[in-house]
Amino acid sequence: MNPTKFVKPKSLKDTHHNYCPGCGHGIIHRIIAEVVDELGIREKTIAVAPVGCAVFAYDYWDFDVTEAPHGRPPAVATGIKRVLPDRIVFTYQGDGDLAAIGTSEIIHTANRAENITVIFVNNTVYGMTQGQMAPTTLIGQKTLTTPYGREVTRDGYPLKVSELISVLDGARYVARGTVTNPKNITITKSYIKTAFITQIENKGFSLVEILSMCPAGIHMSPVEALNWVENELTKCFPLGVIKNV
Amino acid sequence: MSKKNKFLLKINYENCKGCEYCIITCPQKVLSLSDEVNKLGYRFVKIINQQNCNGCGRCYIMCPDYLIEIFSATD
Ligand SMILES: Cc1ncc(C[n+]2csc(CCOP(=O)(O)OP(=O)(O)O)c2C)c(N)n1
Ligand code: SF4
Ligand code: SF4
Repeated sequence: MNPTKFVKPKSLKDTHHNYCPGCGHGIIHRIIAEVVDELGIREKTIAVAPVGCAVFAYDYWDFDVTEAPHGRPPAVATGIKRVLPDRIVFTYQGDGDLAAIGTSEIIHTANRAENITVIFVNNTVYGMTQGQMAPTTLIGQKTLTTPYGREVTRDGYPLKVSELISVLDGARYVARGTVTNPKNITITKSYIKTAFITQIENKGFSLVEILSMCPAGIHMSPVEALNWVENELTKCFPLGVIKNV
Repeated sequence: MSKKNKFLLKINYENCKGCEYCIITCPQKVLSLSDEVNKLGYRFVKIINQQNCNGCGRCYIMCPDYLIEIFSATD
C-alpha cells in the first residue's frame, strides 16, 4: 500500500483537537498547513493566534505560533514582522476578535500596508463564549444575545470587513472563500497561497476572509450548518477575489 | 487485463466526532454512520463499501479532524 497525496501535512501536529463536531477551524488549519508545506516556509512561518476557539492553535500547527490579546493579533504581527522581516507572519482571527474588539487594529494595519497576512474566520458568532451576536451576524439571525433575531434598527448591519478593507490603499490582496465542499476548500486554499505569496513578494497587506461553520454556536447540526453557510451566508458575503494589486 | 488501482481508507475511528461531512461528500457511498459509539461518545463514521472507493480524496478534504488517510495499491 502506497500513501496517496491525501495524507496529513507536516505542518500539522498529531494532537487531537478540541473543536466541536463539524467546526470549520479544523479544515482551515489544515489548508493553511498545506500551503506552508507547499511553499517550503515552515521554518520561517510565525502565526499569531487569537482569543477565541482557535486559542490553542499552537498545539495544532507545527511551526512557530504566538498568542495575542483579544483583537490585537495585527498589532503583535506588525511588531514581529518589523523586527524579523524575513519571516512569513500571519494572524488567525475570528469575527468577534477581528471585527469587534479588534476593529481599530485591523484597519490601521491594513492602512499602513503592513507586510503581513490575515486569515479572518467569519462564523457569524462569538463561538467560544457560546454564540453571542458578532458584527457579522445576519439580519434576523437568532443568537444568544439576539433571541428574536438581529434587528437593523437596534443592531446595525452585518459588517462586510473584506469590502471595507479593500478600499484602503494599503490593502494589496483581499479575497473571500468558504470551506463547505471540496471545490470551495481548494479555491480558498489558493487564496491563502496567493496571500502568502503577496507577503513573500513584499507587496504589503493581504487578507483572506473564510466563511466557516460554527454548528454549536448557531445551534444546528454540522450538516445543517454547512448548508446554511453555503446557501445563506454567501448571499450576504459573496465569494471571490475582491482586490489584487 | 488492464491494471486496476485499488484504494484503502484508514480512518481513526476513536477520534471521530460524527460530523458526517465525509459521508455527504463521498460520491461512491463508501461511508456511513455507525450505530456504535466511540470513547468520545460520538457515533463514528464506518466504511461500508471499501471496494467502491475511487481514491478521489473528497472525504479527506472535508474531514475537520484529519482522521482519514488514503492509500493505493496496484494489482
Ligand atoms: C479582552 C477580552 N475581552 C473578552 C474576552 C472574552 N472572549 C473570549 S473568546 C471571545 C469571542 C471569540 O469569538 P470569535 O473571535 O468570533 O472566535 P470564535 O470563538 O468564534 O472562533 C470573547 C469575547 C477575552 N478573552 N478578552
Ligand atoms: S464553538 Fe463554534 S467555533 Fe468554537 S469549536 Fe465549537 S463549532 Fe468551532
Ligand atoms: S476517497 Fe472518494 S470515493 Fe473513496 S471514500 Fe473518500 S470520498 Fe469516497
